[in-house]
Amino acid sequence: MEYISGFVAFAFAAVFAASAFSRRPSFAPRSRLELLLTGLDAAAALVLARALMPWADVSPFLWFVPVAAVAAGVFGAVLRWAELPGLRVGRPRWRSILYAALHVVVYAVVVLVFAV
Amino acid sequence: MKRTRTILVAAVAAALATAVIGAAAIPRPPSLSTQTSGDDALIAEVRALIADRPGVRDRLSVAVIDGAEVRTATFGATEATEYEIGSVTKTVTASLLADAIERGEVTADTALGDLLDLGDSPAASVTLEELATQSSGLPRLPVSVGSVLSSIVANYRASDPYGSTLAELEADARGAKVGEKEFLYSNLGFALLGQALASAAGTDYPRLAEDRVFAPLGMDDSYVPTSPDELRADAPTGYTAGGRAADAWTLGADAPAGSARSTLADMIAYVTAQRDGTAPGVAATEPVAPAGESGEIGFAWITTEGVTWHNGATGGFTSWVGFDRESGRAVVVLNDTAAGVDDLGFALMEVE
Repeated sequence: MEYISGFVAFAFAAVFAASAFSRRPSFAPRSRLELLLTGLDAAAALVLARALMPWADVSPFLWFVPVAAVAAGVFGAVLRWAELPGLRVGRPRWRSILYAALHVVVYAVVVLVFAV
Repeated sequence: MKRTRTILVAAVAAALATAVIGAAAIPRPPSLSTQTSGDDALIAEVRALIADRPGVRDRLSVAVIDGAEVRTATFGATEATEYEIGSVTKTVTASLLADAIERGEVTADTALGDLLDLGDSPAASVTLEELATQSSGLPRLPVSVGSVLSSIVANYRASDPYGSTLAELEADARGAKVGEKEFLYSNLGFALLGQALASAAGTDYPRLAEDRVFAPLGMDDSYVPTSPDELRADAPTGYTAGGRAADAWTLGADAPAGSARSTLADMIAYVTAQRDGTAPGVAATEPVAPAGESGEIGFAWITTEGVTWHNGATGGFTSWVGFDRESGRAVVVLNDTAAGVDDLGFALMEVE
């Protein structure tokens, strides 16, 4: 579980970076909300990995790999921001809000358990 | 054009800010302190033995006692540095049982239900000796959905998974299934044993340990907290095996199973008195029952190949104490990370 958290962090960070730059309809964010949540997902995964990875048994410099990916994702997200609608077009507003609310619950748990 | 440039600058700034925050948050696991004191040969020996046993290290205090000669090696600590001794606390509880038998307060066959409110539950008929020799049939820990969930959360939070009240502990015992009377290490059993002995003496467990074990042995810096409020000022905390800062474990009513805190100096006095047969309730060290692959067990104390020992582990500390009456050697190892020190203890006892 401890090592898995590192892979999870890298995966989420990579997905964020890739989606921020991607133009493929199946992969690119369809709204600012989705882009923001993808970024926050990556940040939450970083918190998880920072808390759980046995950093004494691996080089702490590995930390910079997902951090660099998230930083790249932030760079792409800022460039992308203006061209995206606030919420996904064609999806009921309540679904977007529910989608966001579920993420917020997960973030709250991660922060409460691992960062407080 | 200007807007595009502004967005680009904002993107670079945001990315840089993210990178800086991320860099500042780089994990910093502890490493074995380079500040050493004590016997140079022992320091070198411990350092070499630790090098062969990977795991997070920070502060480490070791004593090797041969007869009257005491050699110590401390890393980032002094002989007065406080450590959680974890389940070595069980040997204190064991001493209290042997001492209470000598005083006539209880017998080895006293039933737990005579001292605690356990009704007619199976746990009520368990004897004090069965608890002390880890053959009560009680589970390692209370088994319930709530306790399992709280243990999981505590594990991830690196916090104290214990903390029940005496009433809750008794309720756990009433609900516990009692299995075969064979060796099965039980924290629940020792928590109940300590509380039962306190009840028999008409006091609470921390005071009982202080009055009957710590004070007679001059262990002035040893105590048994049962809540974070009872920790002494600047009480140190340790690190998980992964290098995370861990909360102090104070265990609540489970304290007799593992919440004592002590120092190298105090534990030297403790283990020396156990080896020399001068400790209160020293009869606890005599093997009386099988302990599976570990050898034999007295009251808490396990005897393996002539070495009588016990270890301890909390969320942020590990410990090991042992002695061999034949060779006259005794060893204390106190460590402020959850990385194990059993191998180090046995190696210093020169048992492979």
